[in-house]
Amino acid sequence: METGRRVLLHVGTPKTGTSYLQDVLFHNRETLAEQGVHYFADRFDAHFLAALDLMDLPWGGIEEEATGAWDALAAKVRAVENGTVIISHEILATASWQQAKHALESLGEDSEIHIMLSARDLARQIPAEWQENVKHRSVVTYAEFLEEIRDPAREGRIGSWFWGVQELPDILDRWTQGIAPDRVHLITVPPPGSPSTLLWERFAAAFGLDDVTIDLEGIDRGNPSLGVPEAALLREVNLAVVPVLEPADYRPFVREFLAHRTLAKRRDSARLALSPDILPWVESLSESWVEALSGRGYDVVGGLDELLVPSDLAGKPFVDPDNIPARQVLDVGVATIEALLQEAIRLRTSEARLEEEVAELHAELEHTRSLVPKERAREGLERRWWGRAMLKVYRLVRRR
Amino acid sequence: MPAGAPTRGWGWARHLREGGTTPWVDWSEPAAPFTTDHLPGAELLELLRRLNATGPSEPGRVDALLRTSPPGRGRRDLPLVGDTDNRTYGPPPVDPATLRPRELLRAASVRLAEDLLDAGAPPTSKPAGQERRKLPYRLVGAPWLTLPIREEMERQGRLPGAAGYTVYVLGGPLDEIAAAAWKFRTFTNRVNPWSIWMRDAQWRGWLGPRADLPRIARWWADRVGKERVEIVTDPALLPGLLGVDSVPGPWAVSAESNEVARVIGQVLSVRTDLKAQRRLLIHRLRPQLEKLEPLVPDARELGVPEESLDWVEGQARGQRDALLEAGYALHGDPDRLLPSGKATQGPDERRALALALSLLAGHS
Repeated sequence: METGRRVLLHVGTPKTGTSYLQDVLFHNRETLAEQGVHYFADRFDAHFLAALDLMDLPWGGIEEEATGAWDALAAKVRAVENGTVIISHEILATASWQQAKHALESLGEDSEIHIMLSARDLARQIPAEWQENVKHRSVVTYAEFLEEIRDPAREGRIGSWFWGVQELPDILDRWTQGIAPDRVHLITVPPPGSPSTLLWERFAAAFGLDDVTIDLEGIDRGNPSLGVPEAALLREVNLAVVPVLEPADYRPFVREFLAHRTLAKRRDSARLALSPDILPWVESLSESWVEALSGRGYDVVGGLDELLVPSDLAGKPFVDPDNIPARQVLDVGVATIEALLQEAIRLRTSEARLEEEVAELHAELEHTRSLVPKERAREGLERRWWGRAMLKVYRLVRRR
Repeated sequence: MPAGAPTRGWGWARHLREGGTTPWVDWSEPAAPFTTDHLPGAELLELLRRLNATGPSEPGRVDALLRTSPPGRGRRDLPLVGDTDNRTYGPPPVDPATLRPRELLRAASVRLAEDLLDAGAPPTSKPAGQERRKLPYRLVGAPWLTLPIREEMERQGRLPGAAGYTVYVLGGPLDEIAAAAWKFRTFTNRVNPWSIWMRDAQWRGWLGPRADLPRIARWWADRVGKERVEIVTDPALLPGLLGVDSVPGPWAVSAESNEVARVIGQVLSVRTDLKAQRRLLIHRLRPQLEKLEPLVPDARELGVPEESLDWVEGQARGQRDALLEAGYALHGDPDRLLPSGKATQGPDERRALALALSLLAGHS
């Protein structure tokens, strides 16, 4: 028997605006809770940790912080008597049948569970996943990546992960065990050229957020794609730095500063696309997925046809990141050096300011220390009649 | 096909659940699902078939195994080739007999990790009535080699660190030290498979802190002075230096035991904290593996692959020269730091699976 608890479990897929949704939910969690919508997260990556825990998935050392995170999250969900709870992380897409079953059971059989899946056409997902690999220390070339995902046996690390998080009909099979189709919501990412607010409007409609007060101000749309020369340069950088940079240093310096804050800001370079030789395969695969999904009775927010390869893709120039002219990569390299120099200058200025502050604080501290014995002596004298008399004489002498 | 309809896959799963050992390709009987769960993947069913071949298991234990999933990254939930699943998507169906041992080992790892968590680490006890005093030594170097010695010394009440202590840096052929560095991590942390670990080390141009003797020696020299740091290249000289009759060798486990510990450690790294993971692997799993070693033939000693030996030799020469140049006191021939080439193989994944099956069957 269901209570008044509704759980919206957003299980993927990567590269469909999930980070933006999660940022909005995290930054508005208190306001949302007042309106009966709960996003239980004491840190921005709380649901990521829960997903690692659920799936026994090590992740560059972060998993050490994930122990017990899913069960703790599920307990918070079950404690809600009335209201909506949102759980969202894109890597949940790769959960196995058993892991998904455990997750669904742990949320309480008296919960009204809805499965939310945001999805984008493979023509954009395939290049985006390669870039995501490159932003996560990989040195795999685009050609190698495409070869791995086309391996029918999916034995490789890249192929098994890619299909685990991207194969829409399979993800939905795994996550909808016992869930009625009208409680399964498939949100499609609008095609290129759509208004920039449309995806959020779809999320808001699917998650029932259009009637609640939410502050979207200052929230980064996040995780933008790289141009082809930028991605090629980043891969070259990986070849040099991955052996010597620990993941904890790679994340802030390479992924955040270099990829997101520097390379992704360059919007004029060619965007990565599918290579023409795999286009027919991707078209046919996408059609088979849409066929498998249609008729299931899911609530589709957007349209299944948006999951097909856009018809205008064929004939567009393909710029191969594995064979890009060195001049283009050099241009990006120079721009990157400039950004790094600016950052170095900013850090040096900041360091100088901090050194100045430290010097001032040291001086103040020394001064205070020097005052302590004098103050004590003065206070001692003030308490005695003869002391007060001595102080009077001392002050008279000093005035002269 | 309607849910709950009999299938050949469920027929095979039922057969295996009841202790059967018939391979999938020889199975034809359909049966209705015995649970509301999805049919377990081919990797788990084949693992169960191999487990049944070692002897009967308790039904509750079989069901617990079937409720697990292979952890982490990699394919799973594999359909059975020739079964009635007619989906046009999802992982491709396989003949379970063709699955690689490492896929089955991964499938076993969750249950094995849960066994360790259920059992907990044994309590550590300090020897009673033993006189404990500090002696003027410290033993450092690859912990795979030094930890058993340090533990034995402490068990005998001979604690390190008395005033004016000498630091003994235990070295050896660098290919063996590199293997020791990886072996130690399999029981204490999360680590890549041996072949990838070696490949990455070569790419990085460094075998890491536990296999870098000059770095270890320098670290101690900076703290206690170079005259109190001594390099030991021959472990046979250690008893004399430490004032004991003998010192124990490394833990008596094969490369395959290291691989089993490594794979279970991947699960434990998410399920518990690092300290508990180490205690479970070192104090609970290791003794079990040591007991199993003689029962599973053809154990391998871990070694640097031949294609990497030249590179390791170059590293070893560099280390030897750096230590000589620094002028540390030396016990043993400095050329003992050069690779021995005694072993050049990684773990045999079939034997690692056999060990895992023995653990699952409770043979330890």
